[in-house]
Amino acid sequence: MISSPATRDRPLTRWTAVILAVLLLTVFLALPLAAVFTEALRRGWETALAAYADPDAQSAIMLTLLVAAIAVPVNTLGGIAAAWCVAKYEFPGKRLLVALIELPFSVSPVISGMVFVLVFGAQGWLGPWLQERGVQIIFALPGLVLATVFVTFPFVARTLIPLMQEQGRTEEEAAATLGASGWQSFRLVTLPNVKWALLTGVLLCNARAMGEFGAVSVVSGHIRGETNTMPLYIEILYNEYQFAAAFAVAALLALLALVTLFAKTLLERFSGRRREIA
Amino acid sequence: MSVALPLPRQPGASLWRRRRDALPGFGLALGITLTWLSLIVLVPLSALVLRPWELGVTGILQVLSDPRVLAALRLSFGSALLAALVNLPLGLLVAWVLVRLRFPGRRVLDAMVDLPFALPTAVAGLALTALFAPNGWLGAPLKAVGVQVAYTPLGVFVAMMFVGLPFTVRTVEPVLRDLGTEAEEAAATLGASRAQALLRVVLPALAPALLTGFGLAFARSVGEYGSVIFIAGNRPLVSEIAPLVIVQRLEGFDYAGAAVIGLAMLLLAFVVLFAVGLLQAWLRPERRA
Amino acid sequence: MNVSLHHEALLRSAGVEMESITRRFGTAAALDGVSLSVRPGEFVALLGPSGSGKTTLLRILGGLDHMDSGSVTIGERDMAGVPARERGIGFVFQNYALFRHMDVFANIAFGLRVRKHGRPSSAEIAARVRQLLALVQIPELERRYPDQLSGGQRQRVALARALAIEPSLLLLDEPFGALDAQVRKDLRLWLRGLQEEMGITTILVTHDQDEAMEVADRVAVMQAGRIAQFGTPDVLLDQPADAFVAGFLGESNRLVCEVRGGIAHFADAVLPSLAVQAPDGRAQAFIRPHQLVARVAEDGAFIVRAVRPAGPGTRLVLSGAGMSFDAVPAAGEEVPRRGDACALEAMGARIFPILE
Repeated sequence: MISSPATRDRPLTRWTAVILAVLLLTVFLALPLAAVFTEALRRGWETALAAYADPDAQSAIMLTLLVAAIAVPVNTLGGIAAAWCVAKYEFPGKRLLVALIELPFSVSPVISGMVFVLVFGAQGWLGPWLQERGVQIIFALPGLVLATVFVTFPFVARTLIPLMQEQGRTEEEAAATLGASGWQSFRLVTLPNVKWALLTGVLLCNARAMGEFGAVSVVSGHIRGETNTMPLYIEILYNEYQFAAAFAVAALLALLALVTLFAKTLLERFSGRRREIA
Repeated sequence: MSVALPLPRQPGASLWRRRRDALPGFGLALGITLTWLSLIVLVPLSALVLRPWELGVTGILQVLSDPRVLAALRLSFGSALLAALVNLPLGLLVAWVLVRLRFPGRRVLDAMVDLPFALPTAVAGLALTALFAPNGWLGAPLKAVGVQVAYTPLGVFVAMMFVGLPFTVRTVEPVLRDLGTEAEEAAATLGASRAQALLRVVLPALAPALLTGFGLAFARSVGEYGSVIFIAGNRPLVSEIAPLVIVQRLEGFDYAGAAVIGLAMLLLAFVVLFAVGLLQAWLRPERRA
Repeated sequence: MNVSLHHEALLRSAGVEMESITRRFGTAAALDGVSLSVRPGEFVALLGPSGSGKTTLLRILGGLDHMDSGSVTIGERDMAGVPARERGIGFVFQNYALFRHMDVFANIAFGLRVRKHGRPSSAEIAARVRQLLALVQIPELERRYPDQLSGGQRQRVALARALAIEPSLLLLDEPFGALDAQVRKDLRLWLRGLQEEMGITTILVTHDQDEAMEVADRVAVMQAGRIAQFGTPDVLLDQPADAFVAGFLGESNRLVCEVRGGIAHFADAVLPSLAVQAPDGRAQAFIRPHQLVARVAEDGAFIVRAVRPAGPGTRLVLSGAGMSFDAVPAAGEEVPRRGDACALEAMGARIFPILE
């Protein structure tokens, strides 16, 4: 924005503002990140690489990827369906639906995990029934997936809804008058129009799915080599005073965050749109 | 009296068919949405609402009057409110700098703001702990002046500021951008000083967004777990946050007790957000006048 | 090339029968028993103020909205329960609704590419698209994207896209609404020429009476969900069916009068009384500016507020008796100047009784 003489502050004021902002963000955001990488490499590359080679680390990485590979598609599909309903149609209860879709964002991660324990845990509603049949949900993969789906639930829907609402439905109507079926119109008109936003939503959903801590911590049971995702494994290493290894795994996740941010910035430039609050 | 007549119907077209929307797919999409929402969110959350009552009202009160629970709730809500409050001027400053000023490195700064969104909470917690530990980059100099952040309630506050800051910035930023400079210019032509223009024209226009940012930052911080537990030290009655108390109850298989605390947290948070909403509604007519 | 399009369209061009169409939004009736008959090859404009239901009617014809009761027949086919995509109607949307992620070529080809049965080969599609691009006179824009086009160019693409499916009926929703005045004039004349050449039945929605009068064979004036009058532009202007049409079309000065024995007496004797053909009783008088003559008079009750040249003559705006009047100077007399006091006389008026 180019400011006019009437709204331009004195250079001293302007530079003080910039310096304060830079200082704030550096101390608060950049420095912690730098600390992660420094601590990870404090004992050298070999220690860091050895940390990744540990079988427990390997299994944590695989589990994290697996959980995300299930949770992200589920929420992508649900998010697209929800955005389609909310953005293209009018129906009673729409506002309530939007509020419910956003609900998981305002629930503490610990509570997000707990609700599944309350239903499926040993003392849960379905716990004893499941136990008799030998089905394990809490302290096992299904619980991790459920908790992750819960916390990453709104990402795709809420990136798509504002964009699809703004685009309205006339292009789909035009497609209909030109003879396109519902599926053709969705595939050829709706999806291409939101592809960058969709990718952004999926990216954010994935970052959160891989990095979630509180919710999965509650349902995991922390069984080494079995139910530890990377964030949980970090906590275990930290509690066992294996700091270098803990920071090495943390650095991996921090890298994921940086790549996500970078890709998101690129995507926004592609689509020419500003971000939505995640 | 007249006899009720059947409503005239179009031959061969049922009500449903005639009402059909020009865009197909609504039924399918709504079906998927509701299934997804119910299975993942509504049914599990209903457990949170229903299970506390297993204890009866006295049992619930007993859980809530446990000094440890009270101290944890006080710490969680107190720090979250304070952190969100402190984030208001800081977030405004960053948003202002990003929208109004051009300087080298602005894009990097802009991308950095989102870091707490993207950084896994456990990583953030670990990083903040390393930074503020008594031997850390910031912890050591702070210790020299007699301030200890890590393993104290102050650490909880710092972690909550970290996770909340982007919410304030990103809520204020678009409003500030849309506001443009015309209103300020108008104020200047009417003889307002720079400070008057900012205080009387810009700030009131931003107030609703600031409040929204406050609410979002608070909601995120109050339930925050991963970023906080590493730096908090988790000393009972001192630096133990409410989510941690829930985790401990769950580990002791006290599901109902955990649910009580969880439900109390949710309700309290909604009360705060509702108050923020009221404040916003109260500000609005003044802004539009 | 144009010849082939011409014949094709003539053969396929369909008449439209609308029979007591009603559409409610909540309790408000957007359309209240609308019946309208459009002949094959005819160009009809739906003209009315916003909220009169004209766009709703167009969307019902296109299958984009449903009606609560009534029927639509296009060609010989009853359209009840026929979804938009099976209607084969060309629809041009208000803001064109071009597919923003497709170039011009892909936009025009869309309707052919999504065909389930008898989809043309890609060579045929390409040939057809080029033919249409030539028809709408923008062959050079084939590879452009919608956001690289001017409003007029978008309009042409939207039209070509709608024509690509060889519709038997063309529906246009405020097609010139978003264009500059000059482009708008050029385009509507061009569109009229194209429509005549192709002979395709066309229904256009507009709130601009000049546009409706200029392009349409017949105009349906709509008010509050009903058709106030349907006729050729001449008939509408010369024989308005009611006070609404008389007031809506063209400019007029509107006055209340009392008719007694074939003489209209104006309220408070604002103007001299006037011989009219109307039944006795209170009435609304519409006086076109050219029927209202102003002459300079010392004791005139009206003051000239503005004088502007209008074609060969002059138009005056006068005020007096708490109203404002559009009038012309009396023929062969001195043209009044701003500030002059004048007397006004109506040379004729259209009278509609006020129903109490």
